[in-house]
Amino acid sequence: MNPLRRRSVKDLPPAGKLAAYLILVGWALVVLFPLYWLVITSFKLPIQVNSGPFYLPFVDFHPSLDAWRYIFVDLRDDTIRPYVNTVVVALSSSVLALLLGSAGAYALIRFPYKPRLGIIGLLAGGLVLVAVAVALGVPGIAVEEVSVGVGAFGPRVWLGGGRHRFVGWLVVGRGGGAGGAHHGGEPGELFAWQPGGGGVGDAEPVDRQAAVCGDVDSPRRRGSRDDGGGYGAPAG
Amino acid sequence: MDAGLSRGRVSSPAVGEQARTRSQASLGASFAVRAAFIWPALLAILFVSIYPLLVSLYISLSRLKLMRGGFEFRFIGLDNFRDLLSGDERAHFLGVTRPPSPLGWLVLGAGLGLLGWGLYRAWRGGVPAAGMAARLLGAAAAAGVLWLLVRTLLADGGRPGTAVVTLVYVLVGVSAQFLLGLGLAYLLTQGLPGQRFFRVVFLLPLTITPVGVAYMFRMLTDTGKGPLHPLWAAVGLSDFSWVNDPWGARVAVMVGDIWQWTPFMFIILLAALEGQDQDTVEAGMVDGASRWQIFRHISLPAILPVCTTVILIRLIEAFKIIDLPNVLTNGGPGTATESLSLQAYIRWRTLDLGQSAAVAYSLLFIVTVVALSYVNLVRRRLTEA
Repeated sequence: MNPLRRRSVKDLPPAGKLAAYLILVGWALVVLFPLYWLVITSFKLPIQVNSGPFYLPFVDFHPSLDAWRYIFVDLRDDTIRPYVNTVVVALSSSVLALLLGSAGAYALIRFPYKPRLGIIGLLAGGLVLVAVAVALGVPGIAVEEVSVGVGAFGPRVWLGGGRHRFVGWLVVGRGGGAGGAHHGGEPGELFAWQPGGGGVGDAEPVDRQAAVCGDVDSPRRRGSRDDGGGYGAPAG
Repeated sequence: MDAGLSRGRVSSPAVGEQARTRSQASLGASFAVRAAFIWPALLAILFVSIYPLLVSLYISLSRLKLMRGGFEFRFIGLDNFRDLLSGDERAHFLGVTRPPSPLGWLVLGAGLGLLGWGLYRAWRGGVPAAGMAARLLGAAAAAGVLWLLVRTLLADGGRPGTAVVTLVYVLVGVSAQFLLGLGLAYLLTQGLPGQRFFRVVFLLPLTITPVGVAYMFRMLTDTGKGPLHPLWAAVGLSDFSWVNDPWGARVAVMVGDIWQWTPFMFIILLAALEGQDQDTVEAGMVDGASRWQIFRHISLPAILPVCTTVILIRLIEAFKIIDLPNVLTNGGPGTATESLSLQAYIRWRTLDLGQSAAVAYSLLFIVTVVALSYVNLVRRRLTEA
């Protein structure tokens, strides 16, 4: 069957069809060739990668499963762990988002709500107050360890890469009651401080300690970077 | 309207009556139920989204200081932002500005002329004073951006900073993705044999992680040992290094972005084109309209709402580009390919949290302004049409 044959008036004319196929095949090549290259590169030895482009396995170069063996046998656990991490993160975040999102969405269309902006604002404002108080060191709020970084709600936040490891965690204990928590502070006490609660004033003096594990050297000055900083050559 | 009423609406009146009395009897429980539904999501947003947003606002106004046994955030007001806009981070953030070249003046003149013409038309069209003021503000902002673009991109010795580079990524990337996606989607609604195969193939890039895409393009842009070496050799560019040349590296990032995100545009526009009313298309054919006329006057208006939405989504997404420049060039050469997100990330890694948050907030501001003005412009166009 001639694919260029025109079977209905809605079809493109033959010349148009030919052009359309050329464009489609062209873009398909653009999409597929890099993927092909990625696949065959995984069957190459480093020396074959470095000694110039080879295109066809068994013709240009002798394929080997070296790279695959390296990640699945030699690095076994180091490969499997990230895989498992990915699956766990993807699944749990999807499930959580689905649960929270569908519950919220269902509730929003099912029941009428008068949004209590006051309460929400109070809560948000309270959290900010905590943060500001922590940062400014207002006495009366026992601060165990303060995490930095945006969105830090896990027990640990890792800052920096490589050997500059910097661990902090956020435990905002209430001044009086929960104040006993010094180093036994558990992540469960996150945000235990309540706005309006009797936190300020009745507690121990400020106790600010950041758990610093590993070596932290001073922040590199602005502009300087690992990989030969400075700005690029003039553009153009 | 309480829960019982809305339940009564969907079922028979008798059941609705029953439900109403039941819900009235247990008003307290219904409040608890409502709370149980809405609070988890609300808390999640509050803690994971709003709270960090506010805290990072504070961080952007402060400077991290390491000290004996820990660190502290010292409040420094707007210093971080002042650094970015006029201080020693200006060349990094905005770029090095120089007097425009003749071409730059030409582009600037044309752009200002267009803006002035639009304002004049709005004024003649009887736009009320408030609308006129908003337009003047918008035009002033646009003129400012144009002035910056011309002085960094079209000037001798000028150099774009991360904000300008990000803007270039977004403008070039999104428009190329949209045009390519629209073209491919149009071709694949023409009933060609084998279109199923092409549809599957065209979607493949969307399934690959951006880090993988970046490594792939790192290999492809290697003119010496990459697969395209014969091509470069034939053009005499086998010694040319894409990633050592500022614009070469930027183009590599943009090509990777386009390769990755065209399928997203493609699949949504394909769905829109397939979903359009076929009767009007056939009526147009019977009336002897050409293919271009049918596309221009029937298909395009039909899918315009989808187009505007998908562009908006990509626009917001594209401003956040970080993975490609980070892996492909690590922001280099120098800082030539750094996007705003990457700049914030690198600042964060070097423990300059205040500066990092300031960059992130500038990005938020830019995205908000661009998205809002886009929505308003497009909505106006749509209502005029």
